[in-house]
Amino acid sequence: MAEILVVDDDTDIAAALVDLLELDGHRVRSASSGVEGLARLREQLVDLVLVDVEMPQLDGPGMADAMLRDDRGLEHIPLILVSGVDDLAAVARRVGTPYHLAKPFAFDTLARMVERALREKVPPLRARPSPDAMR
Amino acid sequence: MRMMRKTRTPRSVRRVVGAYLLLLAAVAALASVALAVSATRLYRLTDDLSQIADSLGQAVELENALSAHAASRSAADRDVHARKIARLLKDIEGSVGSEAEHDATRLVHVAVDAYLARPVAETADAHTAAAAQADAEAALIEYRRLRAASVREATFRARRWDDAAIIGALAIVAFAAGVVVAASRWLTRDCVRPIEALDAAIERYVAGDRRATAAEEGPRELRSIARRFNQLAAALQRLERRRAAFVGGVAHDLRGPLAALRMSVEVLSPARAQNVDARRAEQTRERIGRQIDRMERMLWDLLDASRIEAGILELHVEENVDLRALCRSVHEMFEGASPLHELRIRVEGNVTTRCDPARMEQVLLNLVSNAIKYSPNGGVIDIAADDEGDSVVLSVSDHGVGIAAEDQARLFQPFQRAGLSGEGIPGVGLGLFVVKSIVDAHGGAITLESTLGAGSTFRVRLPKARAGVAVSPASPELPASPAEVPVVAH
Repeated sequence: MAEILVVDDDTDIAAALVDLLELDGHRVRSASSGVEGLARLREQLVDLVLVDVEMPQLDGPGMADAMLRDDRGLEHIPLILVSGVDDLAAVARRVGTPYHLAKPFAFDTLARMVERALREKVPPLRARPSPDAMR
Repeated sequence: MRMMRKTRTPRSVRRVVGAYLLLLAAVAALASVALAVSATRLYRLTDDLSQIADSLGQAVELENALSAHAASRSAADRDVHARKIARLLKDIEGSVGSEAEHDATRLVHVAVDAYLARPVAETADAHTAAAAQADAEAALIEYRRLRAASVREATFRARRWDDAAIIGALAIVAFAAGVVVAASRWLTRDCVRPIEALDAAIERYVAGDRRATAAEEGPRELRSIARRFNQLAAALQRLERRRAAFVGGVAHDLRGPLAALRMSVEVLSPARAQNVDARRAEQTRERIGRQIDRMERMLWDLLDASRIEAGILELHVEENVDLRALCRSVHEMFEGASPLHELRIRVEGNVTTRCDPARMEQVLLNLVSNAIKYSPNGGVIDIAADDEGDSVVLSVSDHGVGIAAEDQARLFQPFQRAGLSGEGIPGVGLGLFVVKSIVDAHGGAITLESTLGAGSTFRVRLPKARAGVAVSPASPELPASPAEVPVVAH
């Protein structure tokens, strides 16, 4: 029973995910771009975000970046990266989240990962650049 | 041998082989000339010797004739002998000899003449006749002595020539052997080894080492062959990479519909049946249908793209196709497909043209679904057809996210995907590649105008007159340069 946000530019995938997660008892909202996703988060914080990698305008890692730099609590939200790209593990490492799933997946697999993420609550970890490195 | 290192421009095979043949021919000529010279020399000597032998014989005969003349009793006898003596004298004088021998011959002549001039009467001075005869004989002996000396000299010269000829022959053989060894080493290095190296490189490539290259060395033609082989191998590798990217792209694009399909089926599973109401079930079934449509479109795009790559895309061109009707039918197809978007049509002028209607519908469909994808927040999408005199222009505009200038050219190439993290466009897929190919095949052109954040407009210009340039077969020199599509970016 958690608040979940699904972000994917493929509306069919987003809708199907919403359906399945709602049927599992969660409260789910969706967004079709990184920008829209951030807007939703600013309206209301959630317990978990499922985000696609490849999206126009602002992609998954971009959105994760924005969340990390935010200081209204967005940086504590665990992320599950969902995508069809080949090197998803590498992308997940860069973003700093341990949760990722390659499309197409069985819903069981996703459900287990959702449950795990909600239980462990590990937010994306990324080394903050030191002030020296910024120069 | 080092002096023939290849720092100058490569010679051709003809010249290399020709040079070596010329060298060998020169050696052979040298040997022949030496042989001829020796033979001529020895022949001359032999000739000399036989002449000397002849003249010695004649001198003896002359002596005998003189004696016979002196001993003859009658004038008739003496006449006969005198004529013989005269003839022999002439022969002796005719034979070639040294200065000394010519002098001796003259002396003989004088002495014989003196002897013949002596009167031979009984009353004559017998003593004087005998003395004259003795003089003549003495002159002959001197002559013979000199001739004998010539023989010895000639023999000596002949032996010297013989030795010289042997030494010369040995020298020429040694020299020829040296030349042959050097020539074969040079030829091996200049021609044979480069050929073997080239053969080995090709062998390695065929055996599977796709990075085997041939060294460009040896005569000009061989370098050219090696270079072309390397180019071919590189082009093949590019082609293979292109194919791999293609297949990878297809696989990537299929994941979306497959994921949506799998989850939709999951929704309809019996375990959830009691929680799924009729509306949700209906939506899910529609979703399933849409995924199937998507995959079917991908399949057709894939077939088209592969035909385009093979150069066998065919158009079924019709005359007087009304693009207004085309726009309307596409508009209907998208009716209700996306509630966020409003599709508008605008048609100006006479927009009938010669084209393949099914393919142009495909083009419009593709452009409209692209417009929808690039305006995820909804908005207006304008479909327009304009009459511009000698051509018609179809355009599709959206007010969505726009496309960055550096990404625009890549849109029209198959499966060009930029990197991640906001670097570019997700899943370009095949759609626009196929669209461009169809437009090109009509003899038309497609342009893109786009501003990041404001939207994009795709314009397809079709000439009303004779259309149809067949799509050219893909050569190994493709991939096409990004500069093929004119882009107008603000």
